[in-house]
Amino acid sequence: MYRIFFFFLKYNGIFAFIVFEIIALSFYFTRNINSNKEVFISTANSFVGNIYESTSRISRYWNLSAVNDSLARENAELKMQLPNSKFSSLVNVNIFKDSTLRQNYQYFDAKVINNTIHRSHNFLTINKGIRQGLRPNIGVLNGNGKGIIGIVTKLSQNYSVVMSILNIDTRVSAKILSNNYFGVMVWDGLDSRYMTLESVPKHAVLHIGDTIVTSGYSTIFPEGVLIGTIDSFFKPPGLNFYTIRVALFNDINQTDYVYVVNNLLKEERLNLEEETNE
Amino acid sequence: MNSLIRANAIRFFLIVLLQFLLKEVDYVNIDIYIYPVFILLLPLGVIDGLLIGLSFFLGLCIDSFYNTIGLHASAAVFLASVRPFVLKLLEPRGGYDKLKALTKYHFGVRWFVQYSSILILSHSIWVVALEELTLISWWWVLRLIFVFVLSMLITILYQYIFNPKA
Repeated sequence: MYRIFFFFLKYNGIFAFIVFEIIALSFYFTRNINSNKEVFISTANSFVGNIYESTSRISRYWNLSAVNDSLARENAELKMQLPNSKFSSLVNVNIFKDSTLRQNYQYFDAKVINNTIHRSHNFLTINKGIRQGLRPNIGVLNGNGKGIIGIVTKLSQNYSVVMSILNIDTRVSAKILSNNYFGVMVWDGLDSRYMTLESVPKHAVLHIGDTIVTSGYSTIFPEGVLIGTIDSFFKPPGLNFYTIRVALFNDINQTDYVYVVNNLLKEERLNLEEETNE
Repeated sequence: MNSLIRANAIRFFLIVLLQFLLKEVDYVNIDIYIYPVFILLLPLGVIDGLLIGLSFFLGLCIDSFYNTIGLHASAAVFLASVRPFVLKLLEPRGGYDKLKALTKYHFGVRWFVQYSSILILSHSIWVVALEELTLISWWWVLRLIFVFVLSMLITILYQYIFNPKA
């Protein structure tokens, strides 16, 4: 018994190294698997979240005029969509209430309280969480309606961590607006203004300046959200697909207000698709 | 003994705060790591298990605001495990005085630069390798050089600013 005890005491450094290294590396390599277990070791924990909220309150003050401009522009756009700002060409206005339409997407507004763009795995923290109705794996859109921000990964009661589209692990399903060819948007970890669209077949006809939008094939983003325009493209030798460089509409570094979009019919669709795959 | 514990506890909070500030001023593409300083300066008498445990805890604190769960924890544990071997390698004639802290003040600039450069280099390699997870490329090497040089600079700077005795 004593011998075993002294054996452990003599080599305590080696045992501690093995145990702690296994714990740390298993944390690191399972970081993208969506469990909420380690939420306390991220910026979504309430202590770090509070610090970031108070520091971002100061920096938000300097952005007020820019935010005002974009809000006023969006207000104007929304006002144009009001019924009383439209001229009806119908003779008989349909007075029946439409019961065939049902809410598919639910939008929340949120403020970004922490943001990085310089790493290869970038994350944002926003000030809405489980209590406000957010769930894991839902999309985050830019506040002025142009561009996407990322995907909600970890949540606490009042904060959530968003995996930025500027993260080399992020995959977003996207398509070319003019001809509907779809592919996968990835980021190469270098320039925060550009992303790469992959898996568009070689026979597609592309033009520089074509608009890229979300495809709606995944349940995360609704269809047709603007992402960016084609900056350049080439056919890599030996592959059947284009590599397309996409200039993003939004600068992730300036993101302040975002919309979180929740697909209410997601479960139904995923269940159906899973049944088919089995 | 008590003063050693108090000095290290204060240093722990100071280092976490400094690392938080360094993270906030990231106008460059490169991270500067100051938290290895805490592990470098832990006293000689600490047994390896406790040393590694403390490093793991420090790493988790750093991870919590870098959003890189496990990355800095594993790097800190690795650094703490290499430390005893480096200390053995650089042992002065007549051995260490167990009561003296491992600082520039007690052991001189030359010894401290040797000691810290080996450890900071191994820490930088671990962090950059885990973060990039690719074969060696020019970007990988460039990043490693910048991370190492900047972290080394701030480690030495810390010694000159605070000149810790315990």
